[in-house]
Amino acid sequence: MSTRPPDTDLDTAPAETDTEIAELAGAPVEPAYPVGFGDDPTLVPPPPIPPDGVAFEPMPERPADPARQFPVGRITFSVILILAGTLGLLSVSSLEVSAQGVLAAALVATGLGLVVGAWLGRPRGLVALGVVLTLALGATAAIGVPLQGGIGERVIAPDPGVALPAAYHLGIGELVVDLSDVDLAGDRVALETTLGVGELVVVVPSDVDVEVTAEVTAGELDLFGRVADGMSVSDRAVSETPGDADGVLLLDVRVGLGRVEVRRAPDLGEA
Amino acid sequence: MHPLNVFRLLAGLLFVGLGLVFLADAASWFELEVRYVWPALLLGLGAAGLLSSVRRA
Repeated sequence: MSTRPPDTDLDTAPAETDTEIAELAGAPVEPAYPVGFGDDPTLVPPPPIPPDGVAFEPMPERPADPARQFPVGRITFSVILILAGTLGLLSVSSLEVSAQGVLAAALVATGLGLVVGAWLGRPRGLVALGVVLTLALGATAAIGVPLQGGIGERVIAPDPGVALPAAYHLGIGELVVDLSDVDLAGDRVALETTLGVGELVVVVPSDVDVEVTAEVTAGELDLFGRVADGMSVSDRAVSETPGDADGVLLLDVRVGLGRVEVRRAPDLGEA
Repeated sequence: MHPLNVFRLLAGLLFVGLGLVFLADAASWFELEVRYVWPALLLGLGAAGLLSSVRRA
């Protein structure tokens, strides 16, 4: 609150503050706060704002640096797409390529793009892509079974006269391998069947002895009615045919996440 | 060429190494322990960022 009367003339009013007292005494007064460009000869006042409101002229554009303009990120993405497409084509034709293989190749390409980008260009987004690919690879590797052979529902029922292949694979989905009509002709035949995620049913012939080794990373295992479930479930079963065996089927069954069932042919109609 | 970016270089080498390890696992050349992957990723990226910052400082 001011104690000065409202009608007092300021020039003749008694000094009250330290600054006013110093001024009256003739001593130099240091301003308590910046008072403007006029007090400092080294400072240049800003140009006046023109009527159109533009205070400063636009900054001149810096010349483009060719090393930073090199599109290493775009090139890396393109290489990854070409790589994935090529591996996809190969998997369709003859070569067995798992999802983990494709993702790992993409991760290597991403890393190489970043290494190039350390000296050349700006590899935008490649670090994030590398992290995503690594996490996806960790997930696929954790399943424990290669994600190969495609996606969907598949029923495989070989004809009696056709020799069995070494393996059947499906990445994600439902796979039924119906060996009811297969004729082993007294031989010992080994067959591997894998499924990454989903349900796998193997129907074995009624007239052969069967030795099954089965693994499930997480899920349920049912070998001829003997059920187990949980994490890292594995079991082994031997089933002999009541009559004369027409051969021995050595079955290796692996599923990542899901369910496995192995049963005799007559059970197929009851399911 | 612009000045070396240490973070990109180390992160790139980390991803190349991890990719080769996963490729070897897919080819059944050896069995990968998945539980080591995410700590390795975090350690690698963290070390890359740290070295890059120290170098810049």
